Amino acid sequence: MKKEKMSLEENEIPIREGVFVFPDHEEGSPHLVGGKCKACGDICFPKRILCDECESEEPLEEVLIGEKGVLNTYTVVRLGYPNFDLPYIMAIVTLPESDDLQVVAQLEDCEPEEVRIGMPLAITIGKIKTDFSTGKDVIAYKYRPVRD
Amino acid sequence: MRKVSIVGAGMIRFGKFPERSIEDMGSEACLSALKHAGMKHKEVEAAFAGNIGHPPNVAQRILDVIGVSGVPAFNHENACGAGSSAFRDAYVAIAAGVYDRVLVIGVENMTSKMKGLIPVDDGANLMVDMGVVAPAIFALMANRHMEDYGTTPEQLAQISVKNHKHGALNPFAQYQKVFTLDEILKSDMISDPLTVLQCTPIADGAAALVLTSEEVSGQYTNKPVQVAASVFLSGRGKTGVGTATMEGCIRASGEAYEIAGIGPEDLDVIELHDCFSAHELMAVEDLGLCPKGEGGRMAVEGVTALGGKIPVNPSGGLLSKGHPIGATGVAQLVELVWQLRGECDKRQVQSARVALAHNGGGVSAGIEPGAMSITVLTR
Repeated sequence: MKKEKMSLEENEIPIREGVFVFPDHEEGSPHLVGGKCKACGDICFPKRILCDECESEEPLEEVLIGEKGVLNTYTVVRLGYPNFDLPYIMAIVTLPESDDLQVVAQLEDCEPEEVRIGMPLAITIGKIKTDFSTGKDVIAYKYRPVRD
Repeated sequence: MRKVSIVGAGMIRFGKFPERSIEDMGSEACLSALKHAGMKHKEVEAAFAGNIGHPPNVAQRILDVIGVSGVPAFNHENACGAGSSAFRDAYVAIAAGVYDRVLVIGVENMTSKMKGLIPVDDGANLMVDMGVVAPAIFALMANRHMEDYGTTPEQLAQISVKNHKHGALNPFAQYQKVFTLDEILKSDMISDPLTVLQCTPIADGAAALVLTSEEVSGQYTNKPVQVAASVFLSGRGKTGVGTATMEGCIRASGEAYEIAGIGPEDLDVIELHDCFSAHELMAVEDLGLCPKGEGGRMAVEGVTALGGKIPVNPSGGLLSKGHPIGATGVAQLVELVWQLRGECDKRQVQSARVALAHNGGGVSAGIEPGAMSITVLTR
């Protein structure tokens, strides 16, 4: 079992504040920070202020999601911005927590040849690019194949 | 609401003109459209401009060059849908009775600022920050389409073969050059399965339209083109339609057909937003030209080619004509006005009477277009 990253190092910055959390214990999993509507139960990512699926005026509450997912589709990006290491696999991951809930993320620990739409995935955290203005690694949520 | 006509259309050839300013390109397109309309510059009551990459007051700066200072001018940013956004507001203003004679301008100079991928500022969009560059968006959708419907890389590339063949007949196109299926498939892979010849080039250019109320259109032409429907909307965060289709296109075209009182079977010619071959693949389906999943087959069978049942992108589309962002939505309408007036020479769709333009821009919360425009024109 791969040890998940537990926190940021000196030379790292997160892609955004508040979109993902590190595992809260050694054997735990990272999570995405979604928004849940108390009225209709819909979950979105990233978290909105108000629900887009119903008319409730109550602010969404934070909910941790995204530990597991299924590969909806992918592509191998061979021409990208210069601060990304090419090529990389970009994916749309379908999450089970709500209807029609998808997230885009890079795939890690995976060769293009072994990628299959429908394959089960698990969240992980890692570098997605370099921040050229500071020289630091940009850290974000990623997904990796679940291997039995 | 009053009816709105288009009485003049003009554009400059799209291409790489890093030295040409937006005032230079925009004024040439405006004067060409005014000449086409037979309208004097001092008759223009207002202007709407689409542009995304230039300093403020684009419309005013162009109007000043052509001697139309002092009139109300409105500047629209809406990603690749900026030109249609400007058109839409011009249409609404005339329909509402505010103005009778309006200029719509689309203009962009990209090659002086960038190469290859269109840069997006860090922090503007989480999806882009994660690494979803523009070709990747459509590559993601293409791969899902292949999974769901068995679409092949060859079918996808055939769309680009067709549009380049059309563009070779268009003196206003950036690339007036045909490519074989093999050349397109073997060109550099950008984001699987999209090769570079299935991606629109960056370009510079300008296009303009002269819109009037139907009441005054007769002062300028006996061949006015009517705006039968103009629908503009934003993509939804959640769509429920999956990733190989665009809910915004289905919704916008459905509304447009209803307003115009037509169905997709009534269309004679279409200009659609083929920023990548995969976008045309999905758009022909989402516009209702064929059942879902048959877009690839349509391209291979020549249904969407000039001479086919429903020609799509006779201008060469974004793939061959080029895609100077703010100019694109306006240039699509310029082509359709010319088509409906029978002024397209070698690429003319015979007896075209009903035309549709499809222009999308950016991404919304999901993988849907940020902006989606559908316009139906008739003569």
